[in-house]
Amino acid sequence: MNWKTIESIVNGIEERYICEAAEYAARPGKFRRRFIGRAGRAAACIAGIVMMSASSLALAAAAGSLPAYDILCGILPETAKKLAPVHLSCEDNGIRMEVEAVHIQEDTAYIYISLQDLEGERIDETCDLFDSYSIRSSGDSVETCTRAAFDAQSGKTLFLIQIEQADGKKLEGQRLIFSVSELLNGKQKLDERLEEVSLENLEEKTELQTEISERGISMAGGGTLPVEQIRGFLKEDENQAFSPVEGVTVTAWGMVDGRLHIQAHYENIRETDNHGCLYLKDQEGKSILSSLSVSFWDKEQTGSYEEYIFEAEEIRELEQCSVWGYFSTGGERITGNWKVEFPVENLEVENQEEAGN
Amino acid sequence: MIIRLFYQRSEDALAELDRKYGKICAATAYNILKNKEDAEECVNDAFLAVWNTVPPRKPESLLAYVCRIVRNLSLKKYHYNMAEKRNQQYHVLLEEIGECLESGRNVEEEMLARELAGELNAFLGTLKKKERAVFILRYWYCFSVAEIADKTGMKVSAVRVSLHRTRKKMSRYLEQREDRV
Repeated sequence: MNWKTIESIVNGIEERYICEAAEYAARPGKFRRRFIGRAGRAAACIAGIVMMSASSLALAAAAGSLPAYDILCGILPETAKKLAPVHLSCEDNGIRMEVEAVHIQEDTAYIYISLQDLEGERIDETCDLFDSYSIRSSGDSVETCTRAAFDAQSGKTLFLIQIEQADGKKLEGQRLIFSVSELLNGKQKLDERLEEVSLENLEEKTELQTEISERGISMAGGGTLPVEQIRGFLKEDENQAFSPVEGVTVTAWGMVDGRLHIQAHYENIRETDNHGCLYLKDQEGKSILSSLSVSFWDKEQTGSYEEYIFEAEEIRELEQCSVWGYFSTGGERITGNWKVEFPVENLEVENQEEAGN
Repeated sequence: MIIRLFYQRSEDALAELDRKYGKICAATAYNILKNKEDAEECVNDAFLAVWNTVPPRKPESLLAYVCRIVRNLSLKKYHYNMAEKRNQQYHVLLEEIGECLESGRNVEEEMLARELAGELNAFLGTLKKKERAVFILRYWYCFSVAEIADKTGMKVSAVRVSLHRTRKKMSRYLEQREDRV
């Protein structure tokens, strides 16, 4: 089949599918989507609307329940505006969360939210929301959250929330609830050569473990090695094991069926964000990622093994390559219940004092 | 609303078109051409084509209409310019999908293209929304795997696995259809 034919076929893809994908194509940069059963809750609320009186709705809205507020907006918009709670800051566990600024540009809103330790120095430039945050809005929109900056003088870490309207309705006036339940701070990053691992005279590993509790697989190196072709995974070898950084152990390495396997163990991943990547560098310094990596739980189901598998025959002069590790470890976990709720409208820091916290 | 501006021959029509769809058009052109100036030229030519054809045309989806023109112009320019210097990424994705579309049917290429386009759309209808979007972002919009991961919030590895599985499903689907013909 010639390329023209292939292009003609692809060109024949229907408009509705092109438009559907355009929703993603138009998104900028890094994106994470958070919905907490909105569809289900909205449906339940609409079904319940005939049973609820206006006063019940008002109470529900005042309690901060977004779906009830949506319904109230539709029936009694002026009442909704009066009842809508505005919480621009909150404090828990000695940490303050505050809405610093909101700026709307066309169909995108940019919201800066800060976190500050009022009692010590638990917040710094490494502060991570540990996937515990949630963004709920009263419209149909797409939201992202990224760490933007750290101000050493005030001790505040700033996060930027970007909201893009998805359904053509006005963004301004919509309600937003941003909540966080865990922070991770003080993480360390390391990227160095692992001198202890030599790829010369690699041992052929014959004792493998086949019963694993798989967490996931990755083909970050662009390989197409199916996991079904992997006969088994390495067992920890105490003669090889070493720890390049606290929280990480390289547990074994060797050849299995013509492939190089290198295994690492990341401690306590449920409480920390310990993670990393093992990769090779050839003599020219070019990085080589594994064709496949498989992660699986340890016996206690608290830590995770990750086995990085390289197709040895695809790597020129494997024995001359070096092994490197990138690790992100450590960090202090801080829990709390932080929640801010506010209307999406242009808001500068000085206005917060007038609005009242 | 923008179509109305075109019908009114308003000067704001192109400005609005650019404001709303300029970025996605530029990205589509750049993904194929990998050259900013060439991409800008294609987008400008596409906007002119929209101005010249609307009216009398009244596309149901202006986004799909203008993106299709951008894509076609970009592909034309790509094949005209790139005889020696290939856009590696674009040819890789052509090869990826070409393998799955290979057919043993003995018909003219043009007829084959029409037949397979119809079957491709039917196949796309069987996929989940995100799976389908990842496929289209790769083979229609020509985004790289890393760019698709960024835009969809998926890991790079998950995007690769999704594309791999979709291509496999597509091969099986087309083979089954061929057996029935």
